[in-house]
Amino acid sequence: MLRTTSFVTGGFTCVNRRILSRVWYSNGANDDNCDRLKHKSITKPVDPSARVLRHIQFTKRMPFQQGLAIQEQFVRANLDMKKVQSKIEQKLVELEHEYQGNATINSNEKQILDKILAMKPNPMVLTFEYEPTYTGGKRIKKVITQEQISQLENFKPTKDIMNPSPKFVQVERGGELTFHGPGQIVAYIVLDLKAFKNFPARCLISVIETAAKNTLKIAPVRKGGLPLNIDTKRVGDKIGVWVMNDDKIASIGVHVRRSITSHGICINVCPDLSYLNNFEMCGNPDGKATSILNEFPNANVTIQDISIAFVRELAKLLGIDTVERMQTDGSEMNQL
Amino acid sequence: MLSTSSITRSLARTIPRAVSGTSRTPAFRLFLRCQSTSHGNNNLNKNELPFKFSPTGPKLVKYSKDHEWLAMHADGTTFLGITDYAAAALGDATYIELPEADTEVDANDSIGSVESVKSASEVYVPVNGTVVEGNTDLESSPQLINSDPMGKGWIAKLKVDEATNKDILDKLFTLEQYEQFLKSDE
Repeated sequence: MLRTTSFVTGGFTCVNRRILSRVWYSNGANDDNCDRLKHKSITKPVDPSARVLRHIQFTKRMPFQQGLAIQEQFVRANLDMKKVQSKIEQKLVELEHEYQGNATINSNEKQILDKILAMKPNPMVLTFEYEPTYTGGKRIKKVITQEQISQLENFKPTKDIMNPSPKFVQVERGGELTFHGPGQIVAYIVLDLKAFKNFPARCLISVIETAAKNTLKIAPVRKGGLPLNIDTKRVGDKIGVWVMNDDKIASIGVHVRRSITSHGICINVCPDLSYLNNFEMCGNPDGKATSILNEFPNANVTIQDISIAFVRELAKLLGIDTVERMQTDGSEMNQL
Repeated sequence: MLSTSSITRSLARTIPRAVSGTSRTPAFRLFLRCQSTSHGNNNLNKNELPFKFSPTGPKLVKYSKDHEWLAMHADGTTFLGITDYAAAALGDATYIELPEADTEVDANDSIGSVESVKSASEVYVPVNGTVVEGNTDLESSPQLINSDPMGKGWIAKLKVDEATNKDILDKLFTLEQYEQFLKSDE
């Protein structure tokens, strides 16, 4: 179904290239490939805005800073909405006190308030593929040295030698050092934790982990093919996704500001693993990285396939029935 | 507070099993990820510094919607931390980002963050003032945030002028109002 509509998020208008599909999912029972794994949702939306999950798929590889800036726009929209909501609540409470419970707002005013509150952004997943970038979480800020940064930025990979040189960027997510680059999906999950039932940040982390595990298990090897069936596990108390021989296939790190989340997960589809295996990643000195291609050399999966599968699994766990997906090369996001 | 059924729902993993109705077995409680470790008490700990700084305790104790508490003493010295509720919701703290000493802060600025299970949550300062120092004990023992969030786990010590912050302070919650807010927020 090809349709062009525009949606307003916070301060800027973005014209959709295409809404590729508006897909309705029943929660588990009737889906293909779901017979073995009944994915019960971990939470469910309690705010109407959370009943639809938006997936914006960035199809063109881009510099990390660009993706970060795009994410920040959406986070700002969410935070601004929170401020507005808070002001409205406060005003209503003040009116209550002033008029001792005899305050009423007329239907016009109520309509306006409802319209404002209806502008609350939907929960959103942004999926990217980046140029080679090493990113440091909050824990790295005070400890990383200029020498270490130079080492990272001068690294030459063994396989994808035509890639541009890596850059180091400090970000505000939890966790330590990791790598993003060609062949890897970076998925940012921007949502309001309060829009879901009993859903603190650590439950979101659990949901992200589980969605990744489910994706690696059931996403098809190639279009119309059998499932990848990659078994995964947790290693001790650590957060992330490892394959059975302890190699890491996905890394997680999230930032929370007033219940609005950002950052999320990166999953190795087919990156040059030398970027990851030549430095200590995620604070694990003995860790080694792997990828879908490394685990399954005959797989014919793309970044986009796995992105779509991941968002689908995430929606199920969040108790969301509808995913709206939009593909863009990112060029129209540069208007602000 | 997190209800029992929501905890068990959150703990369900991808284990092949027949889809049951709404009943869950207690076995899923073994998964620690979403387990609450709350003490159920958002009162200031009377045995620790944020309270004992003045012999008779703080002049004012207030709470914010973002689950921060402030203990303000007569000379303007104010301690800030996150509530027991917030600490339980975050889970086991692994790293605390503290503010630098002698920095001026405006109301609603981020003053640091608490990291737990790879999610870093910002901590906000509800008032205008100056940071005297962050609680350096948290550098070596981030778990104090969970074991004693209303006492030993204080995050920052500030100098706050009550008069210039009067409007803000009036709008912050008392303990009673905060507990009421928690109930309505569930």
